[in-house]
Amino acid sequence: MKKILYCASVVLLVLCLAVSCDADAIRKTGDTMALLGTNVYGLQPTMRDVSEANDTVSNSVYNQETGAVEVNLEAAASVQNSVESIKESTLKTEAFQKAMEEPAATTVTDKAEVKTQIETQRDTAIAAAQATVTAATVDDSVKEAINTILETAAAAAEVSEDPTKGEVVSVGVVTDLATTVSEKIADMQSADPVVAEQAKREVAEKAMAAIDTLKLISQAANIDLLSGLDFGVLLGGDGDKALVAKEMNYLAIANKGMKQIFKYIVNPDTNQVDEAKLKRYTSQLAALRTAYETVGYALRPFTLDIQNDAYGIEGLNEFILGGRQYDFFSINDLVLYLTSVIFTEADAALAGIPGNHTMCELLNALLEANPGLLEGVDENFHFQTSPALEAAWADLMAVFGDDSEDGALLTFLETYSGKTTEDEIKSKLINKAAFIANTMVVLLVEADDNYSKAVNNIAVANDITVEAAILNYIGGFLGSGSEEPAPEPQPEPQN
Amino acid sequence: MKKILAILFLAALVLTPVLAAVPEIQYSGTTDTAFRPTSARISALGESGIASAGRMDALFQNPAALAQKRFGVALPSFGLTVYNLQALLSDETDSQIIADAMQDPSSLDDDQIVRLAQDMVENVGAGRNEFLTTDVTVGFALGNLGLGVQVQEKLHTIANGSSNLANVYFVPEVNVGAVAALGLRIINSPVLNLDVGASATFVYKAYTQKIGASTMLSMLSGDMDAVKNEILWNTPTMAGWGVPVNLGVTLGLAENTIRISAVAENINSVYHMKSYNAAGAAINDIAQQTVLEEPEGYVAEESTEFTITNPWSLTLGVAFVPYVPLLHPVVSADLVDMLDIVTGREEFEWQNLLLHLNASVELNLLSMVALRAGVNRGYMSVGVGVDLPLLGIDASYGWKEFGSVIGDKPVDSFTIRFYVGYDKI
Repeated sequence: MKKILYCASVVLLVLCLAVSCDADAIRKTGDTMALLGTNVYGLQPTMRDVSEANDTVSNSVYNQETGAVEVNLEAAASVQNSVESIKESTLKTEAFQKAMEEPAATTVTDKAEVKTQIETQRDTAIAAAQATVTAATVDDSVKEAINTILETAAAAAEVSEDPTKGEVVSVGVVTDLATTVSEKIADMQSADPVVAEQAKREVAEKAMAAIDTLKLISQAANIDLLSGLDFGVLLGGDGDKALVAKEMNYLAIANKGMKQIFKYIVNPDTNQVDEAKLKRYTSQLAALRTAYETVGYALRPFTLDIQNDAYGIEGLNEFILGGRQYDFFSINDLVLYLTSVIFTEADAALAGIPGNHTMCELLNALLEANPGLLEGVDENFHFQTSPALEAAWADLMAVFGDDSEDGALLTFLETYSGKTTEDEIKSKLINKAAFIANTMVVLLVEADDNYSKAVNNIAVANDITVEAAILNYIGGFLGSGSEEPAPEPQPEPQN
Repeated sequence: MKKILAILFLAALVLTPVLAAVPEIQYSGTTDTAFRPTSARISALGESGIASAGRMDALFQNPAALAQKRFGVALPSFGLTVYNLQALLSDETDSQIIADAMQDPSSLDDDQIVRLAQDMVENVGAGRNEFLTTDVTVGFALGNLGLGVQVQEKLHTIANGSSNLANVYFVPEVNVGAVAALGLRIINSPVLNLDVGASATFVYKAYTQKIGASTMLSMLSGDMDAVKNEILWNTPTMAGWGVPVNLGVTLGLAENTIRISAVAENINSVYHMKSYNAAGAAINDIAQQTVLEEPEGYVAEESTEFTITNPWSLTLGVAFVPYVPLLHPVVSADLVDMLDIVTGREEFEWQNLLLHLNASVELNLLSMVALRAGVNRGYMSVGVGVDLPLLGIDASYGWKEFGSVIGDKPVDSFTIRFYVGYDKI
């Protein structure tokens, strides 16, 4: 009966709508329409595949007959097979995500031992993968590239004190991916192009399956940084997707994206970033970063050999012109990848700056000075600073500013890279930068053919290849810092 | 041997953009649904009514309805369906923009238009959805025969993940159909009537590769020549034809007051498709002549031929059509997609029947004003219709399930249809 009354009121309201055209009437009509959107039978959808996947993860942490805690990461990783059916349904996705937030130790009471076991198995798997890479008969540049992936994988497999089911799955997926990559390294470099192509596709598809699973279970992947971004002005109307820089709505990103991130890392009681939550969040992003960089390397295995003038951009033109190979990625993946890089590199970068700053500390200083960021800001927002933020900025300028201290930059680079000699620092940092750049290019090309066309159009418009354009840019960037400043003109003597 | 393979492989990599055929592309919602013009009346009735079959659009539901030897003509009828309307109307800013536009359309600036378009896109949610459908139909029902020509445009959406502009893609689809239907009364007695009918529709279907929502939006603010060029010559298109057939049977009891029907829909739903690297190439190929001039620099790619085969479906319906002067009520109930249950592929459970049930009530006041309400697999729909001598208008609003399971993704739609002609019960 209620539904029929709602129906009648919808009809009447639509008529009123046509007559009054008032915004309030329009909204009331919309609200009444929403009342018709619930299923009258109140039926619940079947959740069998969610239950089965949840049980698989629960059963992967158990006590052996001896009482010892056992964790089966391989079993936990097998939930990747259920992702396809779960992610198609919003209700199933929400139910599965909720289940993955539960503690992994359901039948086992020793949480510390669960954490230890997960870490032990993780370390064993990563070490085995690294050994496989070392033993492989491939170029050193390839080994270095795969080791870069494995290092990120190790950071991604961080486990909290009370591991959740999602963490068990995440560690399982990452270690499974690391093992696959290391096993396929030789085939990916095979002289037989069919074998090489098959190996690359296997690794890429494994990484994409990992991304699907990690997106399903990670809070980190739930952030929608592009929501609310004004694409209408972001993309110029001349069709080549040139950025309209002066109208970039950074505030939209800060407003919705940061608010979503803070929701996951801030303690609601203190309105301060919780270090454990931030660590878990960063670990989730590191897992995603591992998967993205794996697929990036599989789809475009660049060669970085600076001594032989190979900078990893050779063949970039052909790769871009080849267009996307999979209908899987969107520009959201690129944004998520960049976010993962920022979060995973932040503390390592801050360690090289005086003042012992951490990301947690800086975010808390930011929130203390600008509490409105938690609720979202509007166009009238004015960034507020504080003594803590000023001190951090001063420390940053002590390394990167015009008046930076002698040797400060070198100390930073040594700390950040973890290397001591100039060649080792250079190799490490260029390798890292090349990896990030390569992944960005792959994600850009895979997101949409039009983006790669736009990149190519820019190069063609300047009558050069993409590689030459990049080399020119890098050369110009490096050259502009090394040039002697022109002497200031002396004033004419006044008579 | 390996060297030859390597050379061939490298050649393939280099020449791929030139020599490779345009791949076949299929999307859920474009290739796996039966072609049927959108009817505001049938939408309001919760997509039920195969047994009641009282109007011209019934020939698309159940061709056996033609056995009643009725007259109807639509010259033409025009229908528009907008999806995800509720979220738009409930939004404070969007409702203000709509209110302002209704009072003075010229007052809208570009920012407001883009804001509205952006919100409409973001309201589609993850997965599959619809955005807008338009139908133009010319139809006749003359005695036992029904004829019609329909042109339908559908704008589907696919969101890979969350529904921000970067993840949402549009898939424009056009269907052109010509239907011929015949209904015959096999048994005609006061106690029992048996009607059978068949219809065949020649459908030409075309859809493009998905286009990013951000690309579509940037086209809004770009010049129309660039938009035309992008869609006609830079967007791969799939096009092809099929001749699906519907068969219907209706058993009428108690002077046709109680009717029981069965319709087998979408038999022989085999579409013979071809892929083209541009819509313009598809148009020229269909016309077998150069209708559209190819732009400078355009390079045609080899087409791929493929077929899409869809299973047929079985709908069972019952209707109660008592003679009540002035009101002419009709009560209908259909059980849709019953083939799997009938053949045993789906386990029969009474509560599962609710998931197949569409039901409705219609009151035809003075044969001029119709009030309709229905339930479509658990979701409500409502509608009104006004039949004037040579003009008619129908409107409906309702919800449908777009998700993989009931309760997963209900989507609302508003349909309005105008027709010039004659179409009465």
